[in-house]
Amino acid sequence: MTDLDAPRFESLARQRLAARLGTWTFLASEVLLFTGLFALYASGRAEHARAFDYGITHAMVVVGTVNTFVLLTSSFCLARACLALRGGSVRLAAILVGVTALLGVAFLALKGYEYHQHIAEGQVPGGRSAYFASHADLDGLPLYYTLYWVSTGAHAVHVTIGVVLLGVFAIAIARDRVPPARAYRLENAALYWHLVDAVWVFLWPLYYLR
Amino acid sequence: MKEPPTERGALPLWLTFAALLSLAALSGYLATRSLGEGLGIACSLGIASTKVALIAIVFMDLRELRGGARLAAIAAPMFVAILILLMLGDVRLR
Repeated sequence: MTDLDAPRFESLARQRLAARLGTWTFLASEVLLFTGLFALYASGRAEHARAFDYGITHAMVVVGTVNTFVLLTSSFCLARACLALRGGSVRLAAILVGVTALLGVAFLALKGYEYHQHIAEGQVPGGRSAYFASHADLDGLPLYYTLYWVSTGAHAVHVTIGVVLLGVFAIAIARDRVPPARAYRLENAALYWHLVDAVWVFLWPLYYLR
Repeated sequence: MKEPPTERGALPLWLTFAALLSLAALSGYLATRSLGEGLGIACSLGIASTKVALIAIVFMDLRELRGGARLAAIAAPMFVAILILLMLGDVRLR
């Protein structure tokens, strides 16, 4: 059985530094994943401007906008939670991390509702539905919806992972398993969540705003 | 990497949060105006970039980073810029 609190480095500061470097390297690789999708979007939109414009015009802009505010609020709550934990306000930190996870759940619920509406309309990835047959003049529309599903789907998977991670952290902090001296653990999880937020900050104008 | 400040107040976080909400509202408002295809997406992405910069600098403590971690943080947006520029260059020059 391993002791998670056993020292692995000569000092806590060095351990924190190593953990932060590893997290940022991981985040850079995550950026590469989404950059590929953004590059595909740029190419598709340049080649099929009319179809992409049609897809964006028929996006559920209210749901997308509400989700933007939900994620921005969640990022603020988590940043505030990190500050609280570093300052020794363990109870406040646990509550704020829990609120962040719940906001993530709200995001996923709204996204699920949106996906349900898209499926009902036939706006599915691959372009094999009556919806696309009735829009045969827009030859880039299947590409638009495939990219929409892949990009937002990959993002939703990341949100789901973040919700689970933050849920575990909320419980652990509430049980004093993450003391202020080990706040860097929550900070690294927060870095991941902020990246998820940053990705959505770009997905929102690309798929919802004209 | 410096130790993150624990004594500072939450004011910078609140100010950043207010700026993020304001920028999101501005982005939503501009989308309702007829700015044209090119200008509209340029404004939206410009505002999005500003929001991400705020998140990175304030929420992700980018200013506190040193050494390899800072290199990784800087490399990430460079990957984005290089790949998008090469992709758009290829499309435009066909």
